[in-house]
Amino acid sequence: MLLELFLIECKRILKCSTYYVLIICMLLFYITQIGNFEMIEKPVQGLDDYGTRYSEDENIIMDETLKTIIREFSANSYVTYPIGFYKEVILNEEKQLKIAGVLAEVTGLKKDDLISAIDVYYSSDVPTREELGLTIKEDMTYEYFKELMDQANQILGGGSRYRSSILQTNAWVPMTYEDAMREYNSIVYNDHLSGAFARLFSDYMGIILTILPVFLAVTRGLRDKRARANQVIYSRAASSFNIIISRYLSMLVMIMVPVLLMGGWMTLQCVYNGSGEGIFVDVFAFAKYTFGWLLPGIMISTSVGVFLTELTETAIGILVMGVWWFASIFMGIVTLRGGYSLNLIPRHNTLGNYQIYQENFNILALNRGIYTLAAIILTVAAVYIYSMKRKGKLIIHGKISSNRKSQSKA
Amino acid sequence: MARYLQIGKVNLRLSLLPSLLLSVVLLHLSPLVMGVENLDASRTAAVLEMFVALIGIILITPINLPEQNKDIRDLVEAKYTSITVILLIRLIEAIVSLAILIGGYIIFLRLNHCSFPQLQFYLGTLAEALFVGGIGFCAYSIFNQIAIAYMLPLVYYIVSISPGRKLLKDFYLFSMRYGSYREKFYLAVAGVILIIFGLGYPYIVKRFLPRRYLKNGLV
Amino acid sequence: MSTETIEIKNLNQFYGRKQALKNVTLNIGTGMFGLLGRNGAGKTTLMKVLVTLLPVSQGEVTVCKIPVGKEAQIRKITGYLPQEFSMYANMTVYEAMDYLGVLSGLRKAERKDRIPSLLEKVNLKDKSRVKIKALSGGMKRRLGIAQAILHDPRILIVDEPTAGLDPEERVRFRNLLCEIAQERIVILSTHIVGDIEATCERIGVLEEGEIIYQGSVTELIERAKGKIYAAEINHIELTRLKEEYPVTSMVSNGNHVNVRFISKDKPFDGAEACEANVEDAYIYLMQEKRGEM
Repeated sequence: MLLELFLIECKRILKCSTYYVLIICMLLFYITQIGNFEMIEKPVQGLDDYGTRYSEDENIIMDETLKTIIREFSANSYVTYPIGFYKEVILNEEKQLKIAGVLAEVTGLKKDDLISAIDVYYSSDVPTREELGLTIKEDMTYEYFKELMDQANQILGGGSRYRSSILQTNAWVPMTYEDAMREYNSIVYNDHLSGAFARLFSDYMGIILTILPVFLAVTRGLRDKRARANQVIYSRAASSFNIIISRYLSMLVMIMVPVLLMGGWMTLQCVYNGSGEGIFVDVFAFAKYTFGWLLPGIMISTSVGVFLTELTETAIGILVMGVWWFASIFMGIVTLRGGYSLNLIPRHNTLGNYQIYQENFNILALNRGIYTLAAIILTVAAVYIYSMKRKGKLIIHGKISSNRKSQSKA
Repeated sequence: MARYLQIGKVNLRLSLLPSLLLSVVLLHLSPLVMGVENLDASRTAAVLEMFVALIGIILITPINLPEQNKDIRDLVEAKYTSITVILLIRLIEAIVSLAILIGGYIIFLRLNHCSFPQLQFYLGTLAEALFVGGIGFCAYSIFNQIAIAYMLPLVYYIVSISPGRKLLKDFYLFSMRYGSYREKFYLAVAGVILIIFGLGYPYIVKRFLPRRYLKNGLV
Repeated sequence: MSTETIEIKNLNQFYGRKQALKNVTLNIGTGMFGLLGRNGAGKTTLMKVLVTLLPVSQGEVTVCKIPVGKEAQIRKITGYLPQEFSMYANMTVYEAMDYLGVLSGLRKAERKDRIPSLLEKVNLKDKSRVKIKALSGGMKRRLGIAQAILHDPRILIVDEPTAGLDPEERVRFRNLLCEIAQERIVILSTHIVGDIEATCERIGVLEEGEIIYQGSVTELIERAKGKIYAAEINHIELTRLKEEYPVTSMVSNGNHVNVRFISKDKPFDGAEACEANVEDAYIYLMQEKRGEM
């Protein structure tokens, strides 16, 4: 029965205007963001500029981070992005001293010496960094440094650039020819070209695919109420599991189809361009990323819609998902080029950067796993709610819906 | 006149109150997650354009919602006061609420020592709110489908973040960050046109579409 | 001999503090059973309990020996036409039947076999490709009955099936129900006495959540025997008569009015005792219940 219901639901979606508007929005987004396929080029020697990258050298990261925090400390003005929006944090004296304590630990100086050194430095007329002479103490390990920076981040109330997970972003360094060549080779040999594009594709499409499905789910959920078809459907023999799951799966599949088609189109472009350069292209990369990266996002968005619509019989799911999405988008800005975290929308807004991906793969897998699990739990909860409503054990909107006849005619 | 006031009062409770409360809550939550003190003009604009103006979607889009049920729609349409008048009253209420809320927020920013041209930013934010709300309102009139009505303004917002100005040109949402107000003028005009179109759409359909399409709207 | 029975013992239903059904006890066997009562008397509540859309608050209810708590089993053997039957507006008649057939667990072959013949039975065969939103009220109700018997249920429950139908459709609908009732239990609720008169052998009358009568239609009429009078009076007398006696019908006839009314004994000269019909009997019953007789 599940299969038959599933097919009927798919057909219903094909007649649903929300679905077409959704596809148009998705296509529009795809075309404007990643429509132009630009093939990577092998770097040539002797250029002035190969772009920039985050440094991977722990010493450089520590140095650069220290410079930043000293500058912010002396001005007592710290930049944070709790959900991606700029927020300036100004600390009171007690907390400033705490930061000074952290800095003392990092530099190996005494607190007072440190403070006066900084004061002198910033009040002098022609300060140079060398004069300041504040450096990381010799026996500092990177692990301990990260720990200290996390402390500083906590004092600042979170969202600062001293979070251990994003310390790298403090250390921008220019890329050399060798760096550029390494990046190129990584795309060719690790990502087999298509992997790098698939990651970029997932990054962009993830933005829109975590919000659009909720609209379809809410439309479907409200349709029964709107058509006043509830009672007839409730009284049939089909199990609540079959009814809700067939709807859920049909929405997932119908949303995945256009996404897979876009991925297929990009795979073709990779194969076409790659074969010209003699690059071996992984033809399954897009499928892997679409199922592993994008599907969990589609699932959570759909199940929030299904669950909240069954629970409340209103469009509240859109609001909840909208707020969650809004916060995630702006929080993700900090780790735009990769680094992930447990954010609803993981970002990897750059072509390549395989190393970051590889290093953080576990976090990404955990992230996607959590959301998949959450989606499944929400959907099962929706089945439960639906079955309760069918038995009249859960009456939404009080007595009005169950006892409407007597109220309206009385 | 008294009748219109009465309609206004009922509608305030019936349709506007939930969205009004929601907007107030969202605005109140903002200081927790974003800076609202000592901002320069560009950062103030970011808060206003990327966040505050979104209450336009919340306040204007669901104006048609009470009539979603077809029976209620038929009933209301049969009453002496035409549905357009009722919608118009609700619209005015929604827009006035927008003006008050945004105005309040501007004053709040000002008290928190943000420096920015207040009148321009006020009108600019209002224009953007009117535009995104107008998209939602118009979409609802056409599709009679609440999900689509919220989806379209949201997608416009996403497109405005990226690719943004390049694509949308004069209809770019976040221009005040770059000190440009011309776009806001376009948005205001477009917003008004969208709302008028949304109000007029049922009449256009009644006049020019064959009867068989009318039952239950287009969907 | 069929084993189709519905047994309801001491059923009490509550909506919050409001009691919708009070100590209802009913036994229903094969054939048409009419549930009569005013709007808000509790008919829909009772029916919803039978089709498992409401949980039993208190008491015992079994359908074909199965307690209604076992929803899955009950849903297989019951068909339900709710008072407001409706389906997705942009589905065609056939699609709607097919969808509901799947939901009832019918296999594809069964659906292909049954749907056309059922649509023919309810006279909708030429509408099978028409969208639901284009159907008239009467057609919708006929579709409603077709979907309710799609899975060949042993019990059919229809809530106010004739509301909103024109007289011709109403008659056709009743006949259809009678035909269906030959091999199963059909329960129909109505507040229109005429529906019952024409179709039901056995009836129950609900008033404010209580069953105030159950038995055959003939017995109900029997009760009112000798209590129904008819008279031809003028308009001025009518006002006075109305104050004294419950009037069951009146027809204007020039300056005069022909009235039927209830009275324990012969009220005045010129009033003649006459045969009671179901309508008279029903009103007599309600008067009795209120203690006014």
